[in-house]
Amino acid sequence: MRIALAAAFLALAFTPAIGLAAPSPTPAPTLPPYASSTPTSTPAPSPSAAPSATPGAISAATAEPAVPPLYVHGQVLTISGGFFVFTSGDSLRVVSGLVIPAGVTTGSYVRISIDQLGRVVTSIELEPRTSMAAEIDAANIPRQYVVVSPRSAPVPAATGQSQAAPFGLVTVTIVVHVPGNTPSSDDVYLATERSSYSPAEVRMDRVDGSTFSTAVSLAQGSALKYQFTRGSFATVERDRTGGIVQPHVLVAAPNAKSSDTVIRWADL
Amino acid sequence: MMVRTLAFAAVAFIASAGVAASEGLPSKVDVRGDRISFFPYTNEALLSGEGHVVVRTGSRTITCDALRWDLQKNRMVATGHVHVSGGATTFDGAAYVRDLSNGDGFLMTVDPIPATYALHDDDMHTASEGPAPPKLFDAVDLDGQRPFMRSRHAVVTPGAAVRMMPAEFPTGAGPALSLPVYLYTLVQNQFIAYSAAPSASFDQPYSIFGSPNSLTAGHLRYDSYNGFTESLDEHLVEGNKAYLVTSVLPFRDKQFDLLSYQVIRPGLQQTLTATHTFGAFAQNILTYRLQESGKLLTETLLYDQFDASNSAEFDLATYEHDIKHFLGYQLKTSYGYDHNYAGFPYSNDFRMGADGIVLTPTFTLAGVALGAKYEYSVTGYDYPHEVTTGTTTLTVSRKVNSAVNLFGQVTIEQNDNRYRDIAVGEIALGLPPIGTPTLLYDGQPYLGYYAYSGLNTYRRYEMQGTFNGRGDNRVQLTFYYTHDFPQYDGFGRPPYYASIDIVRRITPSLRIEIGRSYQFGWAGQYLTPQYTFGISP
Repeated sequence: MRIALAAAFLALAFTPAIGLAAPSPTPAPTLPPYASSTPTSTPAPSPSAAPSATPGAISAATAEPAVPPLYVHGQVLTISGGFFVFTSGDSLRVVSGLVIPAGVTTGSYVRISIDQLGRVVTSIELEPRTSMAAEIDAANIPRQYVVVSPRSAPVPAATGQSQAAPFGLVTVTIVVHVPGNTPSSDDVYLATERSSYSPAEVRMDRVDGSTFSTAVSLAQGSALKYQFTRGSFATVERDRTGGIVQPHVLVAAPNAKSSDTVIRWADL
Repeated sequence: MMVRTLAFAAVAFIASAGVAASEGLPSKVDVRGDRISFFPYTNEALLSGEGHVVVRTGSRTITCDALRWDLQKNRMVATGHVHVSGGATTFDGAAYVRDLSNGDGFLMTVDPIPATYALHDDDMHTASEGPAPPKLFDAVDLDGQRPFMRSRHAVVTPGAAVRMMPAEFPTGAGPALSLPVYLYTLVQNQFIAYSAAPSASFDQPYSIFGSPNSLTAGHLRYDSYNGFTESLDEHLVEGNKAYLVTSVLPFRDKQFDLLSYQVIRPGLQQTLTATHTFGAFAQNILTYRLQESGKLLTETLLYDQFDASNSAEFDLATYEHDIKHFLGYQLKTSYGYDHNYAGFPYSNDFRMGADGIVLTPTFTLAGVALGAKYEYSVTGYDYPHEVTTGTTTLTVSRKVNSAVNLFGQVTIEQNDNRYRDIAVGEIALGLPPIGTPTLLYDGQPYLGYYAYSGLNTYRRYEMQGTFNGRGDNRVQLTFYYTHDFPQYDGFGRPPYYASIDIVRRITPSLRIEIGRSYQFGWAGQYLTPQYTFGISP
């Protein structure tokens, strides 16, 4: 439900352009001569059934492939010189005439389909919300599809690393335990870098006599730095020896929760 | 005089640290493109460029389709039709990574087939082809993330600041706010952001000048007392050892604030805060604190000045000790000196005090969390005059479900403020003249809050219910009931107080808090509504 709320917020709030997507499709790259090849004896993992055309995907492939396409998801580094390059550095040839969807840029999460016979990328879909049945991660892409100079060939890395796309707003919970000499009538505040550590940015809720809590919405994957105060910098938290406390850091993930402790206050 | 001396000493100390130049980094990098965006909360700080991007630093120029620049790691990734010129050699590629701090780079070419080259200082003559290191081309997905600001032109001082001209701030709730120029400091030190000014409901800084250890910033502020107003801050920092912040509020507030802190050595710190209020009711307030934290005790030397009155105090305090699953305690003793400028009831006096706190850990009984705390303090003055205070706090809370939390607190404070000279004490305690008593709203004479020879009791019963909605949306209801002795209608604390506080996230980058409170049955009024308003990212 929180994802749904975040999506609703985004739908409302991101109406203006946000500086990510190119306003018009990028011209199709110029391709080198198409290199015909035959599949190697090692079969590539293939889906059990070819899915129907995905909404949003723009494909230049017109002929029905003899074998189902291979679907791969990952992050784009660039599409240039007739090659599609993942951020892993793996490069794949693209079919002639491939139109790149608007908004695809460096870092975008996409799903590509690969013609397993031609070993070329035939379509690109931006930010797919659902997974295909036999979709694989770019980290596990069969090497026969990757085009690379022999000396630049990467050392095989551990497979199975997920590149799941972080997206949207998530709500994180920050809980803090305060020392016993905290005045009972005082509120505790969260000061974050988002407000340049405004000392009374977010008033926290009392949970019990020595615990305060608050929820904060953040872009998933972003890191929030924060400190605790009692409303001013004269009452900021300190370490046991009265020294400076480095800001706490919380990386936004669904249902992320931090539990922090204030050892002492600057003024007490 | 004291204020000036200490302030100058603090300024001189921090200024003597000098400017820590960011070694090896270019002093200025000019970035232009169809859309240059700055994301301060992504990868610490990220500058992105889309479309016809041109990066110039010294004689070197990089053009590309897209740019991702991690401003904390000083690592730049340029992709799409990359052309690098002005260095040792000129070359082209599909992607190019450069570490600005040491000049190391990697180039990916796709003509005729993809290959990766390691090079230094853009010299392709010495480039070597080989596998790309893991995560070499890592790039953040910025889709769905709103930049803090964007422009077509940015000037970056690596390690210090990003300046955009003009700067556009997407709000998500309508047209973007535009400013002719905006400077964002990259210094990873929270003290560069501290403000010495009083806290405000809304505080938007506008950085003007910046270096790795200083920042000059203007602030647009809002607080319920002064409304919208402005301030000017100057920050000086020395790593995590010291900071000095001055704030001037020249308009409605008309005050000057200073906040400084220095770690002399581990465990020994000094803090100086000062405030000067201008105008008809000019005030000077200064507090100096020197504190050493040992293994068992903390020793604190405190000096306070309020206009011409001052006090000094030496404290010895234990840390908070816990007897596991039973209770915690903390003890403190102090010896101090007070000087009252007005000379009443005395001009100079010494005092000795002792304080103690005992508290239980929070324990749960049938789903209800319970806790208790008792604080006691006694201070004896040479005058002679004694003040004894005992405060008991009981808390009870229950988490009804994932959305609803209930909290209750009872606070009972007993106060004995006793002067041995009864005649002086009656005046010092604020008892009104017997012949012309002040009348209360109900017509009864006001005998003074410290009647009954200075013995009084303050009781407060608090209930709070919080409903947490989706995201960080929240509704909170609070109710206080106070029962003091003696309690007079219109003086002291109102007996009934209720408030509602609503927090609503309007957009992904805008959260507002609106509060409304009521006071009942006090000062001849049944309803005294008040608004509070807050805004945060």
